[in-house]
Amino acid sequence: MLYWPGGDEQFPADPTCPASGSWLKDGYLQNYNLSVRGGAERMNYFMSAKWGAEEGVFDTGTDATGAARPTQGQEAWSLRGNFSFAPAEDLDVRFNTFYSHRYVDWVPDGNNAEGLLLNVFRGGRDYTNDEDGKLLDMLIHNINDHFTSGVNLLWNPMEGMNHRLNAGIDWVRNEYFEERPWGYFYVQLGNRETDERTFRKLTLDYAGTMDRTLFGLSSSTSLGGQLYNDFVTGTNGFGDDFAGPGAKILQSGAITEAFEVNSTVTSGGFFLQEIIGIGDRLFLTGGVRVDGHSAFGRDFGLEIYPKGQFSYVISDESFFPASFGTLKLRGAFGDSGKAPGLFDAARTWASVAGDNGKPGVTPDNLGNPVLGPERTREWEVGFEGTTLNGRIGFEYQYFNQNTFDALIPVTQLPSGGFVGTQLENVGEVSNAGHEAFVNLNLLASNAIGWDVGLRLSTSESRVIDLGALESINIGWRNYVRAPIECTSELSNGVTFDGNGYIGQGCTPGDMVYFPLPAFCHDRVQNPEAVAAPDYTEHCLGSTTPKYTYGISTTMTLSQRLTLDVVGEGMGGHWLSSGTAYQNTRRSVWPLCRSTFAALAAGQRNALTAGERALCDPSVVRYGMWTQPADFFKIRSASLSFRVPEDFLPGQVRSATVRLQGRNLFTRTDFEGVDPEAFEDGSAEVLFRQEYYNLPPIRSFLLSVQVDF
Amino acid sequence: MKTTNTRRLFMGALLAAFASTGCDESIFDVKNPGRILDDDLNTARGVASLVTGMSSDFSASYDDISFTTARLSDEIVGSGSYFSTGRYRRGLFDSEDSNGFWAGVQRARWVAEAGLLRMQGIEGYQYDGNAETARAHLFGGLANRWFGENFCQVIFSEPYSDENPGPGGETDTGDPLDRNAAFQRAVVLLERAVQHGSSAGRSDIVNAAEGGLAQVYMGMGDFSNAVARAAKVPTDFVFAAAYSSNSSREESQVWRETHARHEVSAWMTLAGTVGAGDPRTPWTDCAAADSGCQSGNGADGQTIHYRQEKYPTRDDDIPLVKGTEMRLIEAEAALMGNDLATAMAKVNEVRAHFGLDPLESDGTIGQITGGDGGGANPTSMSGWDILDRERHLTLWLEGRRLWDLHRWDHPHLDGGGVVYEATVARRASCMPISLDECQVNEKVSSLCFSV
Repeated sequence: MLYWPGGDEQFPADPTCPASGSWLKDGYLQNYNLSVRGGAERMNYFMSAKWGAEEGVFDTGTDATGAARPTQGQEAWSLRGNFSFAPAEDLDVRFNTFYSHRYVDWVPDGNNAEGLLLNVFRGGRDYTNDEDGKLLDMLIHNINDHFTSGVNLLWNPMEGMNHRLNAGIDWVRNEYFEERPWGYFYVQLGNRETDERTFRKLTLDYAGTMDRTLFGLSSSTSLGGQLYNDFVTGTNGFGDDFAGPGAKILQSGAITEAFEVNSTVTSGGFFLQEIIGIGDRLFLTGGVRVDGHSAFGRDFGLEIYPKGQFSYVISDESFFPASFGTLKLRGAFGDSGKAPGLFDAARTWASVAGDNGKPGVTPDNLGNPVLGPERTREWEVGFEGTTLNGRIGFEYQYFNQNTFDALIPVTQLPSGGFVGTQLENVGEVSNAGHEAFVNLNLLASNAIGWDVGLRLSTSESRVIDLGALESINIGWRNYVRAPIECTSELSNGVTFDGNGYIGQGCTPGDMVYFPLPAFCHDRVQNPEAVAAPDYTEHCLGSTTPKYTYGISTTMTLSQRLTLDVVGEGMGGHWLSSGTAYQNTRRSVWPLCRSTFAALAAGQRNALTAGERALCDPSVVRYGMWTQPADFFKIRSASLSFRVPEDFLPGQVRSATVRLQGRNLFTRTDFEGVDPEAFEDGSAEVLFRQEYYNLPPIRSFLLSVQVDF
Repeated sequence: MKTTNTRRLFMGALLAAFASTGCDESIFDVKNPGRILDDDLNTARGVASLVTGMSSDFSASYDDISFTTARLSDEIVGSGSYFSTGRYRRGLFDSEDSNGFWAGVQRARWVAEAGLLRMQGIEGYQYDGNAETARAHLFGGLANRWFGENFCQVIFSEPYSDENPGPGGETDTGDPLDRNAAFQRAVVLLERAVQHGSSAGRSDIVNAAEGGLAQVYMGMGDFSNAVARAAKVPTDFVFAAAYSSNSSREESQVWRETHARHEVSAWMTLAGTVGAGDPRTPWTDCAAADSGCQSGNGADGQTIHYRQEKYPTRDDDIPLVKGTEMRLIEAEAALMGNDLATAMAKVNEVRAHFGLDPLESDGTIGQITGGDGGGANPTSMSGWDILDRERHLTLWLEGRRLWDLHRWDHPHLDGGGVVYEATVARRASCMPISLDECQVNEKVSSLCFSV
């Protein structure tokens, strides 16, 4: 896809393309690990160090002057030290410390006018006049440092009693630099951005437990509390318009601007928990925790979260057939909360500039004095066990979450003037699913061992209520939608290419619920007609997978040679291909060439509405290039060999050589770039859209592990 | 004994852990600096910041309205990849499209109106005859002019109430109102701006308010008052929404979308054809070898990019009241009175101000005929067609063209298009009540629509 030899009207030759004729190249990576552990009677230690370097797969080449451009790649190292000692017989002290450092050089990518893939994919209809190499003059890199350290004291003053005290720090520093050099084609005077953030989380955690026997039952009573302190600080600076070439800092720009982030939030709580054991096979747990948070509204107090759970090793009962193996039943319920942001409860104004740099104020936050945390109530039941002499291991769980008083940014009455959103405790969302895992030990001998693992998980979200709101647009045509009543129109919905939509076929009068989030956009209603497309908005489905499945197999020969393959699939979700839509709008989408040719020949009126809806640049819609994104991938396949001990030097205990390939195979009907190449797909952000993003790269690793 | 020592050690560690958090920075501390609590603004020393904020909020959204009404009225043509441009150039604009623009104008008028109520109650602040009071009234009045000119209906829910009525006795109920309600509100505020500005000796504020009154009266169809107010504004007077490279919020979006990006182009528009070489509608053909543009084409990779140069830097202000428009208001009033000679004299006064040769009409007053020349008849020399072109070119990219199309029931609204064909028989000529308003204001929940 990234190689266009030229001679194609839509994809002309690019004079800045590397001599190889491709923007892609092989990128080499290397990783080294070293660890040592040891100890004495009352002291233990473990230390490790890692270093790795990885080249990127883009060939960044040289700039117009022949100088080497910034390259793509990363370098990372880390150190870890764990120490423990016992100053007294009833006291253990542990120190754990970890530090890591990562430096990454990027090429511009994704939803970005200066993104390499965006401009390469758009052929001659791009931002660079098809000299895409100019984009690579941009310098982008970031540095990440991460330090964690904690001390843990465990004191057992008497039989059945223990006290645990943990104090820890988690410190992260991220630095981001982006620079367009002076003379850069898109911003000719150049600019520079720096973004530095430091996050520090302090944790103090105490728990005391008393174990005893009461009336023939085992009892374990715990009492404790936690305190968390989150501190964030950072600056974001911009410098625009350089005077000339050379290395830059922010003040090299004639125009500079800076922003600062600085906040501290404290939260904490107490808990009380009781575990009752009956016959060492049935355990019942009940507990409650009380949380407070500095971000709650001033009229809001403490929050109470109950919990309970049971586990029952039923296979230990006399009535249970011993030949079956082991079986444990379990279930749990509990409440948890998510606090709003600091000062979300107060009416505030923000500082801005106006009248060319004079200080002013603008409405910031309307305020909500009764703002409280979002609550999630979850219950789950399941079982786990083994059978056939341990040859089959299995596990199953059903979970059901219900989030209520959901913290949703609610649009305020615009005609009230204090515009924007205010967090409110409205809304209810549910999520339920199954998780199952089976491991089959098919062969087990010294000559050959073969294990197969299968897993399946499902997750189905549903918006139950949005208060007074009907719909919240969270970006890129992803919506949080309140339920609607099924209408006769919905019950007789029209399909296109066999793709249905939410509510289609429902019974009038029933409620139709939407997933979280739902993708909604225009779909053609008259695909077969030789006419202009007639569009109606349809909500097509969830943008996050409804099910995930995996299969893994491991075969070992003579306890030396091991073949390991891991495959994973996801499905039940939809993905909008911004790449297909935007390229179609520019008449450079390969799947539409026949329609483009018909349009060029003046045959628009001979095309069906379906053909036009997909491939006519003047009427194509995002919704038409939104498709089921089901896929299956071979994530990893590896072959490892444990070197015979006879071949090893005296100080070497063992050595293993391993060859691994990643992302070796993909099966999908999705017609965009890749069903996993989307932006803003992090866990924190709901919406997803594929928009000229680089798919997961295929890689091969040769590794050697030596133990002394 | 050993257990006692261990207990002391453990308890000491527990106490030390808590105590260490209370050194120079307690673990219980909470902070999020940068925000200002509402009550803290009730101080005389804070009035200047309040009024600067009114100006800032006005500018922060007025460039959006200039950019978007330019796309919606074919004052400029889409050359990029924004989904919204694909709709607006085809004449489509619905309640969801309206969200940001509705919020922007509501904030601009509310901060001024609510700010004035606050300023009245601030101890130690000299309200009457103060230049800051005059400026606040001016921004409130111009925001209401902007509201009435661009929106099909208007709604006011705050800040006026029975306890705190507006300067014209207004109380805000959240009901949908005819756009004239915004004009009426503007008249009261702008008259107060004239009053306080005169007392403060600020002729710039007085001229701007008088010009604003002329615009508002014209909007209400009261040309008698419009001409009377316009006559008080010198031809070379300009009052503008302020933009600056000082901060990204102060940058003009019109500059950003044409210079930092290539999202709209003057190609094939009236400015790109009839307006070629006209100092009122400067542009650069980016395909020219020495253009200095990033690319010869727009961001869509195909539309020829004629980059507007009316706002060539981030610092260029967008005019709100101009003396040249006052002369065109006088010209329009003359045409309505069948006085072609006066109308042409006023038009040519404007052209002379810009160093352009005078125009000679064909002797007919005629009517606005429109055409393919960017939404205005490019060649007709009748009085109304000349006025159509002259207002188009004089007020280019100032957020006024959509209003002219609407109030004139311009033929371009009947399916006209530039480069791209309209896909509706009747183009949108005003912005509807926003979907956000319909979702939270029960009084208008049925008034929103989508196209």
